[in-house]
Amino acid sequence: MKFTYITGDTPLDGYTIKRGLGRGGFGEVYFAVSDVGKEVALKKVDFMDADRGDNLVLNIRHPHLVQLFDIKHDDQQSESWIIMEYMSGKSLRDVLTQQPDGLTSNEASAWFFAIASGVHRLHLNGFVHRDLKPGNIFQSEGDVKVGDYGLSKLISHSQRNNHTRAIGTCRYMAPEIGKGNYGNQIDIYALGIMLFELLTGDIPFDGESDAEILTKHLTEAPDLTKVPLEYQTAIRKALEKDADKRYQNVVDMMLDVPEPNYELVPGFNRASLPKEYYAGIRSTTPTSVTPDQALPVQPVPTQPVPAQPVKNRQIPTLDIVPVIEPTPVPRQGTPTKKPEYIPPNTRHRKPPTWIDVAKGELAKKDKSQRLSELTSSMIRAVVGTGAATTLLFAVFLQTLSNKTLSSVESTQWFIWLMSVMLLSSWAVLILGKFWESSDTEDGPKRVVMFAVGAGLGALHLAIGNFLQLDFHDLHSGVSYWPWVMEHWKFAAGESPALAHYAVFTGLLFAICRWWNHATPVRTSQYDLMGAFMFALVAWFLPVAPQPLMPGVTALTLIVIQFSAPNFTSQQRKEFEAIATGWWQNG
Amino acid sequence: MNTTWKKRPRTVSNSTRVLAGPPNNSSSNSRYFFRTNKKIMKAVSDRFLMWIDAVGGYLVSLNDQVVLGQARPGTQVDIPLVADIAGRHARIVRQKEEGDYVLEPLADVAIQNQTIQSPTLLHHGDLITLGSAQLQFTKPHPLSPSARLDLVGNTRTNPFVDGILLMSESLIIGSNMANHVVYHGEEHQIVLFQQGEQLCCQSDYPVELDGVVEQSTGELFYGSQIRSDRISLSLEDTT
Repeated sequence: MKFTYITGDTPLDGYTIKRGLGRGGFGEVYFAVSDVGKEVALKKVDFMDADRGDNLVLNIRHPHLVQLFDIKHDDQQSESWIIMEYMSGKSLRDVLTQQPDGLTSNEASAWFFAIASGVHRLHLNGFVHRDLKPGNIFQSEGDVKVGDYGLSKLISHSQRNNHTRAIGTCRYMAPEIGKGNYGNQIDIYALGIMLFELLTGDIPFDGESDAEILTKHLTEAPDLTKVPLEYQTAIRKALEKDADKRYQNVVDMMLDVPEPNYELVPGFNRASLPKEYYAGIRSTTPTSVTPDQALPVQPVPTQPVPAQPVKNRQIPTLDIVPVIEPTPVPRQGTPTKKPEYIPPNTRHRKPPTWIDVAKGELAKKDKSQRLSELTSSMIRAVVGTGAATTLLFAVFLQTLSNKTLSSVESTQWFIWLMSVMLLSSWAVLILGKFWESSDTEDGPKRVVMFAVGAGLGALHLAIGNFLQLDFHDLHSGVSYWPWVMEHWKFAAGESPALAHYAVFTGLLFAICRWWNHATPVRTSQYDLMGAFMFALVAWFLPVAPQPLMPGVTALTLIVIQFSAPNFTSQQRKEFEAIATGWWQNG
Repeated sequence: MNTTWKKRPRTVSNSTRVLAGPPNNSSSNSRYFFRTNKKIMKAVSDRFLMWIDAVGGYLVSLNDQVVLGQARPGTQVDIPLVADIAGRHARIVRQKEEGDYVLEPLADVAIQNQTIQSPTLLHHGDLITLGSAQLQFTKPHPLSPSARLDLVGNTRTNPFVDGILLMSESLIIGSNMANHVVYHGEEHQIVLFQQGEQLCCQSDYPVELDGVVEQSTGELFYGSQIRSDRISLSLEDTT
């Protein structure tokens, strides 16, 4: 593990670094000693804005929460330092690594009760931890404390997109995190996973990849056969897929977990449990109350927990309260559009890519914006078509023609080619604009394209007839499929049959995915390989006049690519980062 | 031990390292000097602190005798404990020939909860109780006489470290459970050893030693740094 600072460095005035401790969710953590000898842990955070008013988390004090002392900024280095309590012992991650088969039930309970008490305090103060995992639980001189809480609130968006964040966290992530609407229940879920891991040494949902683990979180029921019987109820209820079916507060869960016998866990200090827990114990087991105690207690226990969390109440997490700036992540974008997060097909099980983010971004545009974009690309298409037709005319037309064209004939052909290319590219641009943010499958798009293509074909032919064009001038009759040519045969002075022409043009539009070249969501502005493939299709489907039409097709595609706007590589990178952020942080 | 990599000629000769008193401003200028290899570094004497990133901090004593006592300002004890104990509470002596360790009580001392009155031989795994402080004695490596004292319960030293190493000729840092300092990670072993008056290190994987890259052996001083992509440690004076 590499660390930026070494023994003896003083990146933060007043503190001398002794050694690196590890890498937490947000950055490097060091053991440091202040000038007067106070031992602290320093967490280096690249960028943070603690002046936003939501630094209330700094002042939470609880015996089972790692205390945060202060936050200092270094403007020159654009670093921030979180100064916090140094926990000299092992993290729960280390303990579980050393005991791969799990702890005894008493040890597990001792860890769990301390962690749960700390998490309960966070919830009482209105915070969701959001990143509970064994690596965030520390032990020091017999005390168990929960760390890294509330930091996600303090750390800015740009930092959250950092890839180092939250690696492996999805093992403890509740299913509803993907929906972006969650509350205290995600911490209950993580507590359930951790209790399972404490008892068995294994996590209930494991897999090769994040995607596999996440799928299991979404669909699979936990296998509790290895868990001691008296813990199964608590874990099963904490790991419910539906947040509403889970425990609604930590104390309810603690009441279902056997209390540890601290005599049997030497080295553990007795956890300081929330008073609501004791109230709950009294109300659930009234038999254990002695008669003289019973009288004053009896009227109270109707409501064991005063802070009854409202379902889906607005917990101010960073996603819901964007304080610095409007969040760049379109929450209403495609991946969260589905009301059910349970994947209906494999397509949605895939992690979101930049394309999903980009589509979400496109969906945010309003009608007038789209219209102006479409207009400008159609104007570009006119320019592009002019250039392309001139090129085609100059290079090919004279060599391909069966006879020397007169100036009138040349003009006719020029007009016809230009109108064919312009109308085709306009049609594709208009349809592409409609489809750029939609999630429609290719099938329906092809049907629409066939209809549009057939219409265009009829129109092309009509224009040709109107111009009194002799298709035979440029039609060589050389084609891949001779039998098609039988149908295509037309003598000099004739034109191809309207039905044939329309169907074949329609097929050309349906077989090739033209719309993929008109959307801003494409990896590069020009795709010459695509143009070549389209030309090939136009050659296989001999749309008259051959072999001019393949060239026209390829050039039309290039005109479309020239006209349609495209996301820059910079934007793509940003979308990619956001997509990774979605995937890792929910 | 794998030594197949090509050893680069050392870019720094021993003569550039003058063994003299500590630099006046070691902390602020240390990195600059590492880069130019002109740092005047103090030879390691009987005690030093070893900080290993992501592993722990260790108090290393090279003496054959160490005195354990209460951490007080200006105390002379080798292992200062922050505990309710005497100023000089016990002495651990290494028998040079056998490599065994003997605990001499200077105040109330118990081994495995048995109070001892006279010097007693320590065994691997013994729990030593000095007043309110408890330490566990281990000799992890069968071939090395170096031993390790772990702090039990709330016992702590001043300056704070995670363990005390009683170093004889050599000290092995690696991923094997029989090493004196165990870290969890890729296989990589660094051996510290004494050569005459000098403390040296040997690594089975190229490391950066005091700013000189691709080193496998080298001398160590106060303030020395060993860095690789697998482990990084540095030595510090105890004062």
